[in-house]
Amino acid sequence: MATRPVEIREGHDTPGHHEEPSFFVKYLWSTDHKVIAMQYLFTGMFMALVGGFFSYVFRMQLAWPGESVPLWGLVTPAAYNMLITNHGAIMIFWVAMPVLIAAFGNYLIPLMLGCDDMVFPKLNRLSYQIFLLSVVVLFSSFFVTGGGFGGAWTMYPPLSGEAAYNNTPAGQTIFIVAVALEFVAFLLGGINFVTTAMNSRAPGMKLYDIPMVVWMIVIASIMFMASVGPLVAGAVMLIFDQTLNTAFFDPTRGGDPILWQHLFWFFGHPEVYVVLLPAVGIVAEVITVFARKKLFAYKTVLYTAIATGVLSFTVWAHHQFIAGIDPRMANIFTVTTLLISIPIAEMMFVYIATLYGGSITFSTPMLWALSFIATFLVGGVTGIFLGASGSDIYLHDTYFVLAHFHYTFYPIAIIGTFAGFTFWFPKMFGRHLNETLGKIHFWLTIIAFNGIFLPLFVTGVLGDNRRIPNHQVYPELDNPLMNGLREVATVFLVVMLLAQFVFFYNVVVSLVRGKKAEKNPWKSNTLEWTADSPPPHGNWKELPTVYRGPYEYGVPGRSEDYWPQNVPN
Amino acid sequence: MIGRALGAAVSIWVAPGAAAACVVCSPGQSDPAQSGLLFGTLLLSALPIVMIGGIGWFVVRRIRRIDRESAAIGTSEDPEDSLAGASGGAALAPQRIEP
Amino acid sequence: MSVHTLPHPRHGVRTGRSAVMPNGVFGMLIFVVAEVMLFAGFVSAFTIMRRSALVWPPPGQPRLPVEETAFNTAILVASGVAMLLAGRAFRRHAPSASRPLVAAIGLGATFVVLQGREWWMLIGGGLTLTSSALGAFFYLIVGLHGLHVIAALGFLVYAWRRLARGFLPPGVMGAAEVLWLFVVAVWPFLYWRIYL
Repeated sequence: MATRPVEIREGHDTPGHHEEPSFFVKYLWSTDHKVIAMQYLFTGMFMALVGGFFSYVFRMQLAWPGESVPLWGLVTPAAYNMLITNHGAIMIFWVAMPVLIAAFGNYLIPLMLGCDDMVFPKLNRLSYQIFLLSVVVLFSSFFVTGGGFGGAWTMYPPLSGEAAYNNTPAGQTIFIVAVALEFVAFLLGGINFVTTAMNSRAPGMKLYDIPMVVWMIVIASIMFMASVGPLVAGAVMLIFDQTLNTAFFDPTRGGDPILWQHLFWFFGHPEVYVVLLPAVGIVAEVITVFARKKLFAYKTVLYTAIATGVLSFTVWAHHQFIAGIDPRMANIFTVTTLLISIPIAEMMFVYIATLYGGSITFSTPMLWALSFIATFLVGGVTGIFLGASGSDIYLHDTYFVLAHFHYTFYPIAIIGTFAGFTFWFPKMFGRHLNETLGKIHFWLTIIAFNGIFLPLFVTGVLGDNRRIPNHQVYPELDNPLMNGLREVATVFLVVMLLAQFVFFYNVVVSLVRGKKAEKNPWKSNTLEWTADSPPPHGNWKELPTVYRGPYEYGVPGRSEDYWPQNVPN
Repeated sequence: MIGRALGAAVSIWVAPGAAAACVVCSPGQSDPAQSGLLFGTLLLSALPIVMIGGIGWFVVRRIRRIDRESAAIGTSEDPEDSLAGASGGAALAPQRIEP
Repeated sequence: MSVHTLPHPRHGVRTGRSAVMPNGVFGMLIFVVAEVMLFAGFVSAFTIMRRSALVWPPPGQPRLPVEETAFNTAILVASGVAMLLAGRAFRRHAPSASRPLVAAIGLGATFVVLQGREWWMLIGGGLTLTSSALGAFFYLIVGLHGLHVIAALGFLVYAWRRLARGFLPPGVMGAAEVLWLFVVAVWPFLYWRIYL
């Protein structure tokens, strides 16, 4: 049994093979999990630039309506719809998902579990190729007749189902095809993550010895798998409505538009937690290392993550509170929605307890991780107002909703990513980032971020509707206070986008001239730090064995304050 | 205060028509569409929890048993490797195949 | 291209790691979870549509052939039983799985042919994708299941050919079993919700 014969083909993926593969094979056709992670990471970062540029264009229009926007021109209502739709879709499906789950998952899962690759490397390669295809398909939708899809990223019919309503006859279908391809890519990736984590942990690694970020990515992948089906069902029905003239969602021909909202949000709400959990896991790794303390209550964090996963399947109808839902059902969904804040809050308290009494180093990754906790708390607390069906009726579709979910998604997708990227940069590229530039980038980004969205809470409470491209048309929304707040938000957005050039400059300069990183620069316990920086193909010459949990920092009676997982005693 | 809140909560269930946020909808016991929605809600909410719970329960039980068996033998590796002798060493120091 | 038979240090199938079940089986199980949710999404959409319709089934549309499809259902279930037998035979003595595997493939193909004949008659009777909500959902859900059956049949044929050539990895056989049993098991549920 133990020596089951397995075919080994000699080729570029045989470990001992020394011939240098061609550029194409090495970087575009590789089955190596690290290369695939980099592909996802850089594609995701590129898409973040696209999504960020879109937000710049429409925020300029909102602050100074009707004026020509530099680098774009006049923003027509159709262009505005296209921009907000694709900003939302890109940031969630093509930035948060590929970076947090696919890039960090691909990079960290085999390294942290002590294996040389994923269990299905070819499936992994296929996953990225389909993802890249989805990017190409999405971009092609910007250049067809009528332009990119303009029916909001939630694609509510009948707006999305009828070309006569959304004025993007080709864009609407191409958009759904792109989203569907992206889902296929993550289905393949998710199967890989879960199977790898359950089947090929290093010898000696028990379930409670798995680093938290791996658990979080695995739980998130499972949630994605279990929630994506109904949305795919809905997407197929929507494409049929658009192209084959069926009437699933068309109320004039007996269809039910609310049905789409249920199918969409059945996926859409777990999706929030799908991207949240990996970011929470990254923060756990960073704060334990830089507070030099054991993660307070490992099992509590794990079980609250599982509880979040279970509850997340029972909250979606809070998006339909004013869509004609039965008030009894609204009552139940209010309760489940408020319940789900408990496990998340518990995780945040656990992190604060971890920090308590630690010897904290304020390095760049730590600053990102701490700011994650602070900003995400704001996002979570404002969610309570929206989860309660009574106050949601007033706040629905205002900028308060928008500010709320940006206070959750921004910490997840941007702050979480920067925390992880700056933390694992020495491992990924073998060089250190510049700390000073990193801190400048951090403070500019975090201050500007709060400057964008705090004013929008206020305009939201004042009644500012989300979907209006030009507020001058509505006299009650066109007053000096609200206009001033909109301008403040836009100015801070421009500052934040410009601050990202500091980051890119830092990355490029550090890649060329940065200080060389040794194997374990942060004195961390987890297995990826026992491989070379950057790890070679196959990761280790001898695969490690695990003797203890990942968070043994500051153990009394030891000469060093860390105790790597692979050291026997 | 608590009484008023309780009253509001009860009235939602006693007179859902009056509490509905949608003026063109008529929530009530007899609406067959609501029962269809309820079926869908229950099916979609319960299925993932049951399926994932079942698989997860099975997987965790299997892993626990494997861990227990390896602990009983007194090594940190898979028991099958310890019993297999020579190949157990191969697990800790995987052989590299030179072409 | 030479073949070594040595302990394999690559891709997680190594020794010294406590695999819960073969990778192929585990991966297919997770895939099946996603597939079950896909069908659950369609079925709950269909149920909502059906309950909210004033008249059901829609007037002027042909009746779905309940009895003939019951027979088809029986054939597909028989195919699932054959697959179970194939799995048991495979674990006892691999080459002996060949015959029940062929039976499962044959019964599955029969199901596809009979369903195709049923579609042909229904289209002739005036039930099309755009004729009514019933037609739209019928062709969508049953067609999707049909595509799954055809794809799974392809996988079974692939497994059978590897078995015939002498070596079928247990992971592939297990994955084929999981996929085929899912395709079989979801059908009675669809039959109950759509035909009855």
